[in-house]
Amino acid sequence: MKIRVRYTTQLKMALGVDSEEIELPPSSSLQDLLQRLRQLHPQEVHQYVFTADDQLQPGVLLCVDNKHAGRDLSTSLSESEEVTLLSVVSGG
Amino acid sequence: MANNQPDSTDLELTEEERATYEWQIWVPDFGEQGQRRLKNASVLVTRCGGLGSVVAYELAAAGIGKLILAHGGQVKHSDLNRQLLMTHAGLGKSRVESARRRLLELNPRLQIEIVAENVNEQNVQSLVSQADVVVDCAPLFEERLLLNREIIAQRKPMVDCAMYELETHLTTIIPGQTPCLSCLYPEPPKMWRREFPVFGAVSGMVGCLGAMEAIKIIARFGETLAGKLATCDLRDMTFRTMTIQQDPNCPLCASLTR
Repeated sequence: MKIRVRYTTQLKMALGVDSEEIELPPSSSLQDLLQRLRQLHPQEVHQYVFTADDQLQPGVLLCVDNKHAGRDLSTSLSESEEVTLLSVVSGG
Repeated sequence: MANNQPDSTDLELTEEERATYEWQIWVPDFGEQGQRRLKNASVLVTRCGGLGSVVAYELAAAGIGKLILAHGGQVKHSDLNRQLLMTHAGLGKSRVESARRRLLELNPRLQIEIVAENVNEQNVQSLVSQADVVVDCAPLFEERLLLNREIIAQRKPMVDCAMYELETHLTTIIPGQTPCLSCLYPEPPKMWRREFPVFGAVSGMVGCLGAMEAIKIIARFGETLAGKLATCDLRDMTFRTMTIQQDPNCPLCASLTR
């Protein structure tokens, strides 16, 4: 199945793209998607998405079709869904 | 969405105020009652930089009764692309003094309390206690989480404004009704850098939106971003609104909704 992944702020800048389409096996989860992204973009995903002990970084929000998925990476994905990796930002 | 604060319209409008705010008093659902609510309200704006300058300016223009501004330091050259309450003539001088001067030029009726320091453990309780609504414009996540903790403790609504490059984030937190910042990020992000790319037009845009959120909360009209996160990417003019969920194990706010 195809999933559209959108990147924001620092991760978008690091990757140089604001979105891309990712092919995943049917019934894949958010965890599967993140692992696929890690294969595709090892340096950026390591730096901006995961902690040293392989947890989701505290400043990364995952949204599926504009709905916050919380920190449960077992959330199942469906064909044509859009996943946003939103890196939180602040002021200044 | 209603907030938890008591309604106050004690101070009546003067004829000068009716004339000044005539165009917004014409707004349906706002009217004179909304204007009186603004006049009777106080807002804490934490830091008056790129975001907070514009939040404070718009609230002063709208006729808010009192602003509390907390921001340390002196005006620097690198402030002037976005911190619209600061001026070239103010370089090297107190940021909050510059902010007060500019705001009173616009609205001499405004009550302003300035605090020449950033929000910290020592002042956060007192600052939040003086406000009906908080607008978080701080650059450091430690400050944001400190404010978040305090508004939960005091059950005060908070508008949270943020920016990066050409993107903005905005949400409204109503303790007991919405997720709080700690639900979204329980600790400061590791990769955040204190200085980052941004245009003043970007911080100004989200500052205007943040001010409008505060106005809606105080005047009790319209629909706020409670439980939602609005994102804008001005590079391609993409505007989205995402629903955000409370962390059922949030140590700060989960107990408020059980």
